[in-house]
Amino acid sequence: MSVARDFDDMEREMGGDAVRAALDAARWPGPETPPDQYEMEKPAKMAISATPFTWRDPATIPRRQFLYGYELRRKQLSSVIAPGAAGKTTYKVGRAICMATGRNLLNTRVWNGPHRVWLWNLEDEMEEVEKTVHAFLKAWDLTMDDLGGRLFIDGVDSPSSPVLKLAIEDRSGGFTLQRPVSGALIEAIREREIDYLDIDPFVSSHSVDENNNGAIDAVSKEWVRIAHETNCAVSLAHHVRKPNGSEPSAFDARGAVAMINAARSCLVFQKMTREVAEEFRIPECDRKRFFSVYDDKNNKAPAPSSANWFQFIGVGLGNGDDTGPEDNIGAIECWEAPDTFAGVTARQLYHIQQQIEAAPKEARKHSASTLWVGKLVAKVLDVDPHDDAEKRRIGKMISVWIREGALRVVERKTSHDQMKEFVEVGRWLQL
Amino acid sequence: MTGDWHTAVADFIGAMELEGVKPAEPIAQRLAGGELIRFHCEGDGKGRQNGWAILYLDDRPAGAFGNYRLGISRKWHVDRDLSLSPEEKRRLQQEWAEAKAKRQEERDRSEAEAARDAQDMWRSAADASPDHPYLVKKRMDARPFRQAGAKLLVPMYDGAGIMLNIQRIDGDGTKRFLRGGRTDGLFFLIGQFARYGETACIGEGVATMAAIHRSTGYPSIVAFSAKNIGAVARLWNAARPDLNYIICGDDDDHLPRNIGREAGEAAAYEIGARFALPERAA
Repeated sequence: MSVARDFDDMEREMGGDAVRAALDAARWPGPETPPDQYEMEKPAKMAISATPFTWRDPATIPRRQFLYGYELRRKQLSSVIAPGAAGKTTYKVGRAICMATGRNLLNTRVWNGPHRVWLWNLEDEMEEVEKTVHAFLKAWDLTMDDLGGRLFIDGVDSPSSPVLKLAIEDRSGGFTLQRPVSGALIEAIREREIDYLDIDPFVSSHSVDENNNGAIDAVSKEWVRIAHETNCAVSLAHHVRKPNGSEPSAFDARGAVAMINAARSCLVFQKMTREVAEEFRIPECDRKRFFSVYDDKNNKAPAPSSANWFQFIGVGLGNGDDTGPEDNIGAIECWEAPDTFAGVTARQLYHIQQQIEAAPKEARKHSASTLWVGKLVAKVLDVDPHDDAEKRRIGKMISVWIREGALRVVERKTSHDQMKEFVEVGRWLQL
Repeated sequence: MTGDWHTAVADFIGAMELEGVKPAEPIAQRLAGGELIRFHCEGDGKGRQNGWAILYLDDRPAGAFGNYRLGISRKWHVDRDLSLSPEEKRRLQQEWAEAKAKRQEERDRSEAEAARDAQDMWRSAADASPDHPYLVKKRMDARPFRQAGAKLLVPMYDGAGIMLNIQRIDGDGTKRFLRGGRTDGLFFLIGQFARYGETACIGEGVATMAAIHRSTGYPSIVAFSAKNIGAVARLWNAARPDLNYIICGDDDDHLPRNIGREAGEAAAYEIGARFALPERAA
């Protein structure tokens, strides 16, 4: 039978040297570094070197292979982020049809089109995607011949959808990339010669923790690898996190930001706000039909000067009968936002300059002032300066005229001997 | 309904006795507090408290009990729903909270009293005689210790260097702490530190650590029990992270669970120290 034993017993029986040796041999009880099998995988020698710059004619460097505006590019990942029901999925169907037909139907150029497009919606059933495609075809008066067999669609109920998990979480909280899945996808893209693959939403293409930056980075890189290997453009749709009242940006994408970092372009969707609707004179009941799209992170192409606006239109599919009405499916069309300067002539600006010159004390810069210069502008344009929308419009016009030099800001003393900012004529308009 | 709780407490104690955990002192009042209690059991040595129990009294009272000496550990629950009314629950929770606060107060007072007793005892004690049977048996240097009558005194210090308890060792090796005194995180140091980053050993018993100090010259820290090794290791590692610690475990191979080894390994793992266990002769 064994008995309790301590170092006092050991010293008595085996001597102090044995105790010393036992302590010298002590080790941390945690796991040892994994041994041999890992060493076998290591390369014999790690080679890292800096590549010297060598000159070559820039005209001979292959250009970036954009497919659709500056949003989609071969071998690159792009992303689309949007709050719910902002128009993301409809926009993507419309964009896919533009690409498959090679036509500029959404105010964006299709480069070297038409292209072969694969729309894979992992949220909606195949039939719903099909209906949206038909809604666009009807709205734009297109036929199957226009598509030319270049459009491929899959829904959440397609046989391959449950398989599309590029990475899965393991029991230890880590993750494993599913290379056989990537391999099968690459093969399918090559077989159909797809130029553009659209995945909606990104979160359904993996089953790792959305907030794990390491895991999301690995999945995003796997999508980049697929784009590279197949020479196609890949777009991933993502939802924004719960809004805090501010406008969404690329970095409001839900979960880890690694996917947004990996994407070369990031389209942000936003519903029309109440303020914008007021400015554009759109009734509240119609406001929700409009949404804007802008690229918040196009770090490889010229920045768009402003957002593109779209409006939903309802398209009846003609599938109604005695048992129920036809489906009314949403498609979109481009919408031109009203120009702030719409109707303002050069002569009117000249008159505004004259008014400011004649009444310098009534040309205070700040709109809170009772002597705001905007009132002089409103007088010339014959609009109500107390109307909030007009007030905002006038404010924008004044800002532009100041920026362009037609007006300028100066500091002067008021009648109460206080220094305030006034607007005065800058460069007189030559009529 | 209160009668049901009393019945539950009585049932719990009855279950303990059936399993061989027989309290030799009244425990019903302390059990109702909802915290782990220790108590003297039939068959325990003088001053020992090998029995332990914890009981939660609510709609479905449940608890656990055991005896360290006998290696017994059992769970228990009542097999009926007492269905307390909200008022009864509130009153019960209030009673628990009051009992808990009272016990904490008692514990603080008893630890403070034990600390005063320890300091008085240390002041009035004589230098330890080199002929004390335990010192002779364990071949220990008498100088760090004192003696009160036949008992060898080992001071127990906290991180601030304040003596809060004393371990008393009889000639036959029987060890006792002052009753009610604190033991958690208290230690005794054998040897001195000489330089930054040197090796220091932490182990359970005073004789064990004295043997290690004799054999190696390393400063050796006595934690007094397996249970206290983790607390002492954390305390020292926080105060002197530069030291190269070796946790020296006792090999309690004779017990159903090798408590000495488990506690030592856990402490070493936690602070990143090395761990050593005494070898056995082939």
